[in-house]
Amino acid sequence: MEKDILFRDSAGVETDILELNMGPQHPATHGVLRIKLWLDGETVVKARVMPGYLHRGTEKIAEQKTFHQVIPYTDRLDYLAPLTNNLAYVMAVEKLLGLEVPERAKYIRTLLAELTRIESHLVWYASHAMDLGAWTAWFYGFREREKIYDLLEILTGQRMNNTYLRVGGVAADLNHEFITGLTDFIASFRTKALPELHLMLTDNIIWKKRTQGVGLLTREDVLALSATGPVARGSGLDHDMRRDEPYLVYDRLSFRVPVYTEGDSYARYLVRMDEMEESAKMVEQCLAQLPRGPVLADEAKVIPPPKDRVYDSIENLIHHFRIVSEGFPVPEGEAFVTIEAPKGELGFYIVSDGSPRPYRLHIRASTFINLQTLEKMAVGGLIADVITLIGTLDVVLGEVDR
Amino acid sequence: MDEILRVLKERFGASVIDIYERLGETTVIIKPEALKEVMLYLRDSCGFEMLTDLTAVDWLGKREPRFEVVYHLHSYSRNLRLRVKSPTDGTVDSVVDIWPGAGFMERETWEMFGIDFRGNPELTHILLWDGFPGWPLRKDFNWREDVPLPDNR
Repeated sequence: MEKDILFRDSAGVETDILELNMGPQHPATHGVLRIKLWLDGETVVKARVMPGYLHRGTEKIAEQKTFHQVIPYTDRLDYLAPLTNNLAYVMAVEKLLGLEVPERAKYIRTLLAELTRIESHLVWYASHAMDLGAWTAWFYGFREREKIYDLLEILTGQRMNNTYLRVGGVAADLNHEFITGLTDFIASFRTKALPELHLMLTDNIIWKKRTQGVGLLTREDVLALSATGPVARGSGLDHDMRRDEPYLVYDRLSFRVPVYTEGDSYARYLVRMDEMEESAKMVEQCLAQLPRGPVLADEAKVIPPPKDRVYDSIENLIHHFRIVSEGFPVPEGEAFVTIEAPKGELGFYIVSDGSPRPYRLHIRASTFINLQTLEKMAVGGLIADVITLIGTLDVVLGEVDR
Repeated sequence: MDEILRVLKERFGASVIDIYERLGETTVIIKPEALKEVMLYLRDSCGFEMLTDLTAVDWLGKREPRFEVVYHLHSYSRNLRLRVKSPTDGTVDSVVDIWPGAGFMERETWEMFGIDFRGNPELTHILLWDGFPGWPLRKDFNWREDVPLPDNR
């Protein structure tokens, strides 16, 4: 902004524009996000988002790794929803391979994708509320998230960065402890925890005053700025990939796509709260419909033999060693797969030249692109509302910076 | 979709290099000179309201010209997706005035590949720091040696 622009305030005093750096070390930026603000008093005149403090070069690293070795790197993009990152990536590889995934694995993937959505939205709920001063809500959100992490630990062995999905299926079948734990959790989440979360904020007058009318985005803005996910649905864009371009088993589940037309932070809040309810329903349906069968595709070229057979047969040992050390070749071609991740449309664009390593891997990171809307939403608002905007966009810097 | 491709061929016949469908994804390859015109037409007359993604691929030593800029478009009204590619030596027209959302994506593609987006008012570093030497996602960028340590600012 030009330095020579001078403003006159209401008393007629000449004032100057103040340039302020918000972040990179700021408690409300959920990581290391820097926003440069130009302020006239407390009003934002212009905002510039400057991400990149967590850039690790995932796209370049992926070119040096075999297709299987890339999976753990995808966990670390949106680290609050690692399983959906795995999902988008393995779906893109499977598309290139033309590999069909067994039914049971599809159900498990759908179930985990929805569980991850609840988990991700709970962190958003807790941290968004805390940013705006509602400390109590933080504890309630994190208490529920903790239960999901305990369940994921039972299933995958890790709380975060699960790396549970494999090309061709999932790493292991569901176990009894996980299923009973999940059934109990979903029941108590729907009947007890979610109403509690609503009770704290939905009709809270302070919450409404901080979020209603703040960060307005029209449907046209959303289309022009490529925003997706809850941000788009809060502005009246009635599109959800799970319903409109169904993948996995979403066409067999019944659910509602919440859409609000107000386009403010409160509308986006309601979209995410409704999505948690719908996701819980979907998890229940997946558990009820769960078919029997294998959880990994029967494709010896891609999937190594089970570990217990590796120990007592030389052929299986060689087979396992070759797939693990050399990887598997993927046919020449390109694939772009996007899924409805908790924070928006997460896409992987993979170009293969026929070798066991991706020739080019590009990540269409939902929050990176959604973050552009902040530059628009902040203008004309108060500096205190910038905190609301970061929360309402649900940014995760691991995914923004990749 | 067939209708859109037919009209596209009719209208921009000389600029369309190739159209094909593989793995259920439709790709149109356009000469870079006509890119902006075609994109504007796709948005206004074919209903591709959103630019979902923009990136590039470096085909060093494999193809001429060296780069391919890849656009993924999405039409909500028709529930369609389209991939548009444009081979280039390093300069294409910016689509930021057609879709303002291309801003971050073009900045990222510029800093990673060194592709100049003509008409983009601010091609500055976004994920890397100002003054980063080289273009990291190019195939001739040696990631073991060419990555400098940032000076502590």
